[in-house]
Amino acid sequence: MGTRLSERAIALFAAGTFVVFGALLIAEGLGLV
Amino acid sequence: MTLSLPVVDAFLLSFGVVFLAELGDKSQLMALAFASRYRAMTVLLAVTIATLIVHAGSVLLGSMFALVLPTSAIQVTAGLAFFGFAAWTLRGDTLGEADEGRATRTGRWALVTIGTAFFLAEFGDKTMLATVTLAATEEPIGTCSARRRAWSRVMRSPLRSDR
Repeated sequence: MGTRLSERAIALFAAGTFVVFGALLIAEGLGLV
Repeated sequence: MTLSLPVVDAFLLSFGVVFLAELGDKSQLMALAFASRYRAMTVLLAVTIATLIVHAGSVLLGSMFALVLPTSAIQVTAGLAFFGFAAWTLRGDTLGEADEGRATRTGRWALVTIGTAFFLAEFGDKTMLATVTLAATEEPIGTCSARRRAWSRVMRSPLRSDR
């Protein structure tokens, strides 16, 4: 249970980081930042 | 020798992105499977060689995109690709039948057996696509170098705890 939770937490953290990074890249590409 | 800032930036960014992308990835699962059957150093050496070959090619491909496509188009496409990587990470990876077959195969030449299986598993994998994307938007030398280091860092602790 604990292992599954931590795996999920890592996946959520990684996915969140990718979303933020992707959003920054798109904003930069569109000249917004 | 001094490193220019774009190389360091690309190195740090690629290290972080690939480190996260590698967690729970198909290639990590395959390396874990191999580490339970072969010596840790043999596995580490084989996957390092295979990773170097696959990702040097990925960086070359990304750099070519950077040469022929406009920067803004690359950045928007890369941003969308990272949304895809986020979804891929949440979905998780499993080893397919073919991958499992390769991971349980025994061979006299362990280095070649592991290296070949890992090379095939890495092709089209999330980390390979992330490396292509990073190389298209960042400095190629830093991206390639960080890619290999991130992989070794992710794999080292599970390999040691197995022994």
